[in-house]
Amino acid sequence: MSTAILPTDETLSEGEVYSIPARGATTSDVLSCEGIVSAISTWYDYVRPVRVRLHGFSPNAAMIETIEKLYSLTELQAGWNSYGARPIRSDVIRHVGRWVPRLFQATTPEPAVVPRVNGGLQLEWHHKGIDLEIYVESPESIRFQVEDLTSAETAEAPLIGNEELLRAWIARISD
Amino acid sequence: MAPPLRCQQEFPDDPDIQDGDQMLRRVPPKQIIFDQNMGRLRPSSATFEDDEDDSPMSMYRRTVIDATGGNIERVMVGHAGYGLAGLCAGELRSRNQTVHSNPLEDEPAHAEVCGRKTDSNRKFFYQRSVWVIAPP
Repeated sequence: MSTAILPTDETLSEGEVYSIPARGATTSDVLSCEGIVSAISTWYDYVRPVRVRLHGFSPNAAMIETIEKLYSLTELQAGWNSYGARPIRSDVIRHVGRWVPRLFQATTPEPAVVPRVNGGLQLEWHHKGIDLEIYVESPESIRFQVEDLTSAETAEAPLIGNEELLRAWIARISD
Repeated sequence: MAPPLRCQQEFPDDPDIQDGDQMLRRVPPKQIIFDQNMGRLRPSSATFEDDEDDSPMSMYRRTVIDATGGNIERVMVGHAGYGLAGLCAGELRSRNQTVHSNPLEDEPAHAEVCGRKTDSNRKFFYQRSVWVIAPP
């Protein structure tokens, strides 16, 4: 990957990311690279803000909004839904934080990032006549359900072994 | 298909709850989404799940609140930013759920809805739900 992450202070609570555009690194590449993920993980563990400045990229704003919403779920305490829900699992948040940049395509719109009672979460798109929901109960247990409301075409599958099918549906809801 | 045996035995359906009776569930801010296909805010499918301690989904009987001279806003006290969604008991039953009255000491309208909350059931519930108190 043609990126370099330069901490702007000793704690990497801020970092700058540089790219050589000619080598073709994408925003997804940057946001999924280890330095960014570890910086965000540090934020979660120690409740410390992280600022990342990107140079040489055109970020997908929806992706960044999604990651911000994702990490906001760390604020939820037990009982956050008023009916005894669990806090959202930190390993789920971290896993989705790493996965989202690879999941998104250039024009993928922002999903709803919704916490679940069992400590998991779901990503939801209800866009362009398609309902797509991805359920993440643990890093190992991810599945999705999708319905085209116009054609009545549906799919329901675990992620493992069906990554291309999900990618095709993501393309259909992308603008 | 009937509700699961456990539900029939431990949370039997209450015949005093009419199909047309409205059942209420609080919706926390993080589970309120804008559905572009429907063109409105609505509860996420994640709203309609059983509690994590394996007890069935809690709801409130509007008829009991009304009959006791109460105001439905009493179930929203202390829950700023929430919405209150309503579904008819018959809609819940149509998806193989029992609607079981379970009054609490501090809330006689409390009830539990027992049955499998499959993806398709949860989708049915959000599609049929209406805002009784819209989110702010």
